[in-house]
Amino acid sequence: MKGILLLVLANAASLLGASALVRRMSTGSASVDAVLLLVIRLSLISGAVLLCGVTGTLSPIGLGTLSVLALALLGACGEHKHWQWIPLPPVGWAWIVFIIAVGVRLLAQVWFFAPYLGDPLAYHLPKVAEWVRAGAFTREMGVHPHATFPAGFELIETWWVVFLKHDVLIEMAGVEFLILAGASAGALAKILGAGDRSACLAGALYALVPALHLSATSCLNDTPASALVVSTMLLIIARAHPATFLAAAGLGLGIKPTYGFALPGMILLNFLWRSSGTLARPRSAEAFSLAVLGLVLGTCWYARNWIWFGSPFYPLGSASDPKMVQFGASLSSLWANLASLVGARVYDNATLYGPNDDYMAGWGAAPFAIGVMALLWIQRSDPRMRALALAFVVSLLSTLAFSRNDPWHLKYALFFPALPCVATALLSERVEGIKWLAGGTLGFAILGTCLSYDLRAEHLRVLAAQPWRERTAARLAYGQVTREVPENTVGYFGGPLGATYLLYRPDFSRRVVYLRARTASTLVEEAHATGVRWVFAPDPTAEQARILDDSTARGWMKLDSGRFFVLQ
Amino acid sequence: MVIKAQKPSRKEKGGVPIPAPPAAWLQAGLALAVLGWRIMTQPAPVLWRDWGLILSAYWLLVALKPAWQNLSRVTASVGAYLLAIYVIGQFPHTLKSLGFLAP
Repeated sequence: MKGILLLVLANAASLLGASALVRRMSTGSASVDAVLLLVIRLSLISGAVLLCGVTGTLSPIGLGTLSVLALALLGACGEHKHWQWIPLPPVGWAWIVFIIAVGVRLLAQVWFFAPYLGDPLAYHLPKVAEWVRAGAFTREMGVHPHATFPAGFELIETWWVVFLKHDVLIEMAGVEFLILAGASAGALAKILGAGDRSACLAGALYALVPALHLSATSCLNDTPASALVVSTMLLIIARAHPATFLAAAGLGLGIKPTYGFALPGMILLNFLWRSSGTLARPRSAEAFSLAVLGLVLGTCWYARNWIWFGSPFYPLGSASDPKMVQFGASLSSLWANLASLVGARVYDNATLYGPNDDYMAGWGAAPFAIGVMALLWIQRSDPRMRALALAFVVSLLSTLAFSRNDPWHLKYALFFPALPCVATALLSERVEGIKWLAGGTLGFAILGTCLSYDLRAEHLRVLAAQPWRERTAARLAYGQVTREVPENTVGYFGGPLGATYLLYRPDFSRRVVYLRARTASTLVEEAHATGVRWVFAPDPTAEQARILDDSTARGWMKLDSGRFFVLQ
Repeated sequence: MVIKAQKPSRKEKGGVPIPAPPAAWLQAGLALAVLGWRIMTQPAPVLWRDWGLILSAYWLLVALKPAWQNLSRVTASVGAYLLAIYVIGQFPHTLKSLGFLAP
């Protein structure tokens, strides 16, 4: 109960703090200010977790104390008197019911899903588990080659787990960004002249883009990065305070460098839009603080890598680069990616929708059937849409140039379907019948975003059958954690892509020791020295397999079951 | 008093930027280039459902006949046609994900 109370207080503090800042940097548009509120709240949360992680106070009490102090300070300044609920736009009961239904389904997905996808289990979430267990940031990040990548999204995930010391609500982090994505698309449509209902349609269409929607509850960071690209585009055309750009860009770059791939389009948009009306830009301590926070969030992980490993992008471009992702731009990648997008992936017909965008664009039916056509129609007469389209296309091309033509790379470009979704909404006001077609695509998207390529009906049944306290994807076969080990410490000596997060348990009650021995004797010594009796070793490298064989041949270890070894 | 017509200023508040409206011929040229690319690179039997080809043909129409009275009807029809192509490709997979078809 204490954890829940602190979580509620902390969320209240972040909302009140964000609302106080929005009041000082308001754009004058309710829909843009709503996006601003979300961006600033996420920045404040990230900053708070970053501060507690660095100072070793990353615990319910530490973060809770900070939040209560912030709440008290805001209360003393009378900020609570200015709090206003964002008024619901007059969109009609049908839209309200629809939004509530999607929201309830998202909450059910948060509740019944446990982290299940390969990348989060292998290198995003082990960091969260280590931080929550240690109450501070740790040097130990796991063994995946990408463990050193920026961890801005992990800060938000930590926020949702640290108070409860449990990961049951961890997907809320992604849901926050999905709301940001939908709100940004809706606000873009509104700025371009759409009515309230059409803006709502734009937001709903974008929030239900299959890959974006499924990614939000998968603990991947592609939805957050894409949502921030769209919200930055919005803040640019809304001529918001420059500090707010820095906050959004800082969040984005701190979450995933792929946000940076889209920067050329954002810079172009700022250039194209420079002559439109500008808002007053008061120089205030609050705006300065927000800008500094954005800079810190956007640079901290790169600075850490520079200090620890000698390169901000480590391991990319270094001798230990596993070359699993492309480093730098390439014209051949651009052409290959563009050809496969237009010729095959945009159809989304290779397999089931999934958060990883396997072999498809994952944009869904609306951008495919109506959105791009709508864009071609609208841009004829609207120079603002032409400028926005140019910026989005440049961002898309830049992203394609920076990504290798692997089966998943289009998840880096999930910001792009926001543009055709906005165009669809605008066209629905001008062409008879488009509204009904768009409604059809929404219905199809609702069906397609219940489950996914990586989490099917049989997987959901396994997850839902477990009590919430114990709910884990370790019961699913692909994690290879095929048995429950009765120990609170487990060693990991498997390959670099192993789903190590599953070993921590949902309440982070188990210590995981990453063994990095180079011989059988040092492996056993290391295990004894760290109190490890059980060693999990899925998909070992050739060297690890030789060491494991050597250890078992000498009788120091015995294969128990699955990929678990027990020390003798 | 003589009132002279003024060119709208780029700095005018609320004025919206450029890029300058691309001429119809430029848009038509781009559409033709995409159309040619799709025809040259796709096998003839699949051209009827080629997304790039259908959209570039539509773009050509929009660029050359922007005021055509049947454009709205054509737009809605092309949308419905593309939606059918999309649903035929993805729907079986959606059914599989929901457990209605064997994976």
